[in-house]
Amino acid sequence: MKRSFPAVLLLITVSAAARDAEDALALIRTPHNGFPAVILPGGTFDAVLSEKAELRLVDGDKGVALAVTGQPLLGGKWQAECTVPLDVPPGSYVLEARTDTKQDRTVRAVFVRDKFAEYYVLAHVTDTHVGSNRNAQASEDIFRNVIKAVNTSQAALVLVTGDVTDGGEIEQFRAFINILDTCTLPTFVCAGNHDRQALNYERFFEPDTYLFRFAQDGYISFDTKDSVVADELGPQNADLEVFRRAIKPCRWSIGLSHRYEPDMGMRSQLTLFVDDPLDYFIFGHWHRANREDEKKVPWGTTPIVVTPAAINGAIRLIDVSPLGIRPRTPQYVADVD
Amino acid sequence: MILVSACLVFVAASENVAGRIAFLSGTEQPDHRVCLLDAATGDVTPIGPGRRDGAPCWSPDGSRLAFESDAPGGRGIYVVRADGAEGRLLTHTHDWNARPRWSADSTKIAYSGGDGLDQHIIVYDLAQERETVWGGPDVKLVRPVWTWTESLVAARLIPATENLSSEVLIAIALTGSPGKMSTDICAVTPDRIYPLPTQTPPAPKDYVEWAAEPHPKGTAISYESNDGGDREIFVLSAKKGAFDVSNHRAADWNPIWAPDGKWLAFESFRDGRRGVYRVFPDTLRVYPVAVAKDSDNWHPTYSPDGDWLAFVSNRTGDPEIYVADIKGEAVRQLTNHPGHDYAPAWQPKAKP
Repeated sequence: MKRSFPAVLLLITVSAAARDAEDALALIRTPHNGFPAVILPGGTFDAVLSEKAELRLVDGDKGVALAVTGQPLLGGKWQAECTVPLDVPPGSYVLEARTDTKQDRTVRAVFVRDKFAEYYVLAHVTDTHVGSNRNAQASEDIFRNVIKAVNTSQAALVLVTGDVTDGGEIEQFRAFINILDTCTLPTFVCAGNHDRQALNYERFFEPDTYLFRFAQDGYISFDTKDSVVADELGPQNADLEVFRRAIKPCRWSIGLSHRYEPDMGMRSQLTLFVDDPLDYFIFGHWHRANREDEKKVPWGTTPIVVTPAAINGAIRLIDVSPLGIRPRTPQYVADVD
Repeated sequence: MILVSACLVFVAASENVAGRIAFLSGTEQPDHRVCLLDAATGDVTPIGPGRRDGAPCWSPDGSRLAFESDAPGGRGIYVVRADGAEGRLLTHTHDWNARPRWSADSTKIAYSGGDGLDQHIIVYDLAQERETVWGGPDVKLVRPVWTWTESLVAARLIPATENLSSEVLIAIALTGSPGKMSTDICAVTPDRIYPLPTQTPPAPKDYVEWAAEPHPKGTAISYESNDGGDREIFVLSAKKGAFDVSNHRAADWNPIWAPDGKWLAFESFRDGRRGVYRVFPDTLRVYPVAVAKDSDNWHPTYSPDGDWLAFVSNRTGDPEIYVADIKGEAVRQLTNHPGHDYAPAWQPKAKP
């Protein structure tokens, strides 16, 4: 039963519009509907803002101010460590930020849970290719049905591993987000090769590389960027090393990416699969499940889970427990001709 | 050629810093372009085609640059004169070609070419405009770099009986099979490979070695390995064998030799974020050069006189090129661009 909001909540009148006029990220950079915070009452989460702002959690027409401590970040951004009051009921919340001159909202940005279980189920959705004409059914309809299936599943969170759009176009990202927001669960998104058009992915979903914790487990989401050396020389490898170290104490360490080929990004593979191997690695791109002879990364110990494409109607549920993760057989939940 | 100093603003260079630095400029998207930065004036000149350019490498005589760039069906090696003229894409057998390195006489370029893990070392003869596969057809090799044959023979790492040219290659051999893959550092001749004794005794397992860089005089090879539990910088020399020179529980990456071969610069996470450090291999003393708690500093490149290190830092948010003296003092920002500026490579002095 959903608890009522505490009496200290303030009535606020803001428009329902989230992000900016194009649905791109604005004042609030994180958390958002592709990288939400999932916490217990009384817990804290980090928000990254383009500038210092007051923050609230909002549910419908009610909101609660967050206790915030902040610090400036590199590049002029602002990091706010937000504490959620103990009496906030479980649910999905909008994060609202206000300055004297600006206001921004990110929907499905904060999920408050009453507890984390040792056992939970995650849903893996990949390669939605919104905007594609490859099937008789519209890609949007297929994705809508995929989300309906996820909503009625046992899943506690959803991993969406790239190629969310077919061509990385603004309208395709907007269509993807509109359908994504029909999901009742936290959704964690990463970029795929089809999403790289100008800087559109970053406009809608930053950052490219991030970590999050869910229950006792640590997740690293990253973009393999198709193994181009120019990217290998950039900042991502250091983030992966720092993130890998940060989730070392977690029960399971789980990597998410759109794509993996053994010759891609050797430095990142040394970090994630050789020096301190991740426990599991989940990705898509292949538009098929991994076969019996594709159980692990070539370096040795990290098992892989590859899920068929959602544009073909597929999702995969994965059981996560103290015994490890157990991928179930992919389900085809949407009709595709 | 267009000067883009209005876009890439020179902030402040030391009066003593001179020469040109090649670097990549772009965004997270495939628009990386090789540019030249005049370290004295701050002028920036784009010279690459801007097709996801990567891994710029100067010829030892400083007259030309080689780098990766998108090519029909994959990636090719692009060669251009230091003034940006006469740019051309080499003709390749393989679609995918990566990480070019010049021979000491600037007449040949080695790179890896192939598909997936099926990678070979290719040597391109610029005079003959012809590729040759080195190391034999049945080995998987990546990241070639040239060294002196005489030094390897003197160290008894390859046989003296070989009829070899003055230079051979050091490369990373991809070994094992899927599920048990590993790497070995090898000397590579036109016909075969010679695995080098890079493991410290008692070598109980197959370590994964990477980023091999021969000493400028060929008397030693630096590399990184997970021998010891985490990634460390090692040096292999004829006198001492293989020994750990960075020895820290945090990861240590990407060693490069100073031009005089006395010091190694490398990247380390020992203070939290990625920083640039130097080590004197004879004493194992490590000195910080560019280290910060809230930002990364990486990819050091020595000035030809060895007095300066250029490197990348994201201390202002985006990766930019900086320079510091080798003690890490007199740090100056050289570029200031809203995108990424990185992968600096300092132009060698032209030999008289």
